[in-house]
This record gives sequence, structure tokens and C-alpha cells, in this order.
Amino acid sequence: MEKAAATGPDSSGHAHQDLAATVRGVVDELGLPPHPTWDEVQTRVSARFGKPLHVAALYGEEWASVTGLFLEVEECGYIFYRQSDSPIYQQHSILHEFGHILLDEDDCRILDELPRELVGDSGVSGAITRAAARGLEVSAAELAAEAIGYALAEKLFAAQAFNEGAFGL
Amino acid sequence: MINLIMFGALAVLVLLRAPVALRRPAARPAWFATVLGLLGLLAIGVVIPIPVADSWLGGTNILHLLRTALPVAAFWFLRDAVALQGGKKTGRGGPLVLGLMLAAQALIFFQIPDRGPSSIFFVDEHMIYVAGFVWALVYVSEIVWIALTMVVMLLPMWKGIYAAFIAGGLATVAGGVALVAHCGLILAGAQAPGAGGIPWTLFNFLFYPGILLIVVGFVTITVRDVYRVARWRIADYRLTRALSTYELQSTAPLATSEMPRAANPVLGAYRAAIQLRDLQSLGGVSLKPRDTRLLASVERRMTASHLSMARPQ
Repeated sequence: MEKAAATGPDSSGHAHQDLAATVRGVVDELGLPPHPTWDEVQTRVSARFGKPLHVAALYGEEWASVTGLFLEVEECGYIFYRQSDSPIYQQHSILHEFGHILLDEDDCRILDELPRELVGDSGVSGAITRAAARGLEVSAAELAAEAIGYALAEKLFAAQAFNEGAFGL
Repeated sequence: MINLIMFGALAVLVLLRAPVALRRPAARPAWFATVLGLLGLLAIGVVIPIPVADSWLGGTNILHLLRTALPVAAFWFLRDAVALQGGKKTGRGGPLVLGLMLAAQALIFFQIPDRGPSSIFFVDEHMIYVAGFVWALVYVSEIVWIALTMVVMLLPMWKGIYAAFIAGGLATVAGGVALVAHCGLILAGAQAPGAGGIPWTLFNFLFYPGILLIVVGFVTITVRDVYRVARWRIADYRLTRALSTYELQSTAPLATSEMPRAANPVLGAYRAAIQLRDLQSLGGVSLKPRDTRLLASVERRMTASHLSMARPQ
């Protein structure tokens, strides 16, 4: 794990501003409506990706250190989340992987760190050309993907938060 | 006594919601409606007797102008708040329209002859004048118009609490028409001021109970939303506090630990819940049973209210 990326000198106010600007730019480019549905978010991420996206749950204890996984093959992309997690955590893991897709990162090194059984059992066929996993490391790319995940969650929450504005505290 | 309780409840709401009204534009219409409702209760003598309050304003029954202007303004903002709550557009023009409505009331009111001295029967006593009749007519028409546009706006979503607004609005409209008939009979000399009659009975039976029903809807939504948001704030606070304790025990850094705190309590609770699960999964942290129960309970609530993806089977 690389702690420096998260807590070193780069995590100052300027780094936060840069990250916030990146996240805002990436999410704004999606052109989401004010109160988007899940399907609208996934469709727009898929459109930016340029290929169909398949989202599925996976089982198994090998997932202990990986809470979400994105794999790209020639025809499509796969996002996996852990069946054992709570639904809201599963949703966040997927949103985090959307972040990797939108950032257009290429980090196949991650495949070397993934348990062999995990990739083998996922049902993915064809050569993997790109991969990202939530949980294996804390890097600038992971931080950005996580921030995009939260920004997308905020957009999705807007539909519910809307009703809290008029009469609530 | 009921009015006094209502006054106290509104005063608490005004104070409680003042910070959020300053912070969030969407919260302002309901807050303005509460403030105006509070002043409206003052104008009907809930705390200070009418003759005393009117004597402070010159003893020429100007308090009665406030008794018509304040409900119109409160109703106006209440309709805006309900529209925001239901995600609707009111289509009622800008604040200029409200200003014109209030100005029209004041302009006509000051044309009424023999306005003093202070009298609780001012309205009935002055219906014999055309200006008095027009003043009452304008007031009732404004209330009826606001109530009617609110009913039309809410008809497609008539279930639940909105039914109270619709029923209250319809009763107010019908009561308003009855009041116009009552004042018309007095103006025409067909009825003596203060003599009652069927239109007056109908007005009393429909107009204020209708407004009361709308106020009940308003209070219900407010209490429900205040409770709901307060629960999220408590969840945010408790989870964030737990998170700060467990972060020190983690063997791995969190990707989110350096992010600024979310202002929205739901988002704050969401972040803290995700990070606590991260600490469990990735940081080798074991939560205490009390915190495990808290986290599971917040996740259940969040799944029920804020899960967007299709729930996995």
C-alpha cells in the first residue's frame, strides 16, 4: 500500500482543489440530468466507455481484499462487486469502478496482484486489456476514482435529497 | 389555547429552521410562511389583545389590514414550499405579483371611511361601504386564487399528505365564495352587519377549517422532514465519530480519509458507512457490537431510501 499518495504533502489544500476540479470536470462531461436514475448513469458511463458494460456479483473468500473489480476485454467491460456486501456498499463499489472507466486509466499491473481464482472464476472470456480493482492500493488514481464514486452517489442522492430541501432542517 | 400552542410551535420552528433557511434557498419559502403565520397569529390577538395591538398602530384598525395581508403572504410562500416539495412549478409569476396583491389590499383598505376607533367587529361594520366590500372581496379572491392554483398543482399527486392540502384548498375556495356572498348581502342592505345567515355559516364552516387543514398538512410535512433530516444528522455524527476512532487502528490507509466532509448529512453518513466497511474489509478492523448494529441499521435505512441500482437478489 502506498500511503504517501493519500497523506503526504500532495494531500494539501491544493491537491484537494485539483482533485475536486478533476472530479467535477469528469462528472460534468457526462451531462447527467439534475436527478438522474441509476440506468441513466450507467448508460452514460457505458457510452463514454464505448462498449457495453456488464455488472455482476461474485462470491468467494478470495474477495477479501478486493471490493470491486473492472475488467475490459475487446468487446465489452465487466464490473464485479461482492455478493456478501450490503447493497449500498455494492452500489458504491460499482460507482468507484465507473470512476476508473471515466478516468480512462490503464493499469493492467493490477492483474498480477489479483488472486488467480478470482479472474478465472469471473466468467470473463478473452484477453483482458485493462483492469482496476477497488481495495488493493491507495494511489492518486484510486483516490480520484473514489472521489468520482462519491460525486456520482451525490448525483443519485439528489433525487431523494430534493424532498429534504423545502421543509427539513 | 390551541392558538397559543400553535404560536409556540411556529415560534420553535422559526428558530429551528432559521439556519437552514439562510443556507439553502429551497428551504426559504416554508420558513417565510412560518414567520408570516406567526405574525398572522399575533394579528388575530393570540398573544396581545387586538385593541392593544391596534392602538400601537394608531388605533385606526390597521391591524385588520395585517390580518388580511399576512395570511395572503403566508399562503403564497406555503404554496411555493409545497411546489418545491412536490417537484412542481407553481407558474404564479414572480414576487412582484405578491407585492401587487398586498399593495392592492392596502390601497383599497385606506379608502374605507370611518376606520377608527379599534373594533373587533371592524369587518362587518365596514361592509356597508363599497371600499370595505371591495377590500374583503380582494382579500378573499387572493386567498381563493392561491388555494385554487395549489389544488390544481397538487391534483396529480392527491395521495398521502397532499390530500390534506387539496381538501383544505377546496374548502377554502368554497368558504371564500360564501364570504363574498355574505359581504354582498350586507352591501346590498339585504342583511344587517353581524346578523349571520347561511353564507356566513358556510364561510365559518369551510374557510378557516380549510386553512387549518392546510396548516395541518404543512406542520405534518415539516415535523416529518425535520425528524428525518435530524435522524440522518445523528447517523452522520455517530458514524463519523466511530470512524475517527477506528481509523487509528487500521493497518491500511483509506482512499477517502483526506476528503473534505460532506455538508449533506445523508452523504456524510454514506461516506462514513462506506469507510467503516472499508476499514473492516481492508484495514483489518473489528467493530464493536454496538457500532456493528449502528452501521447495519444505517445501511438498511440507506438501502431503503437511497439505493439507486436494482437491488441484487
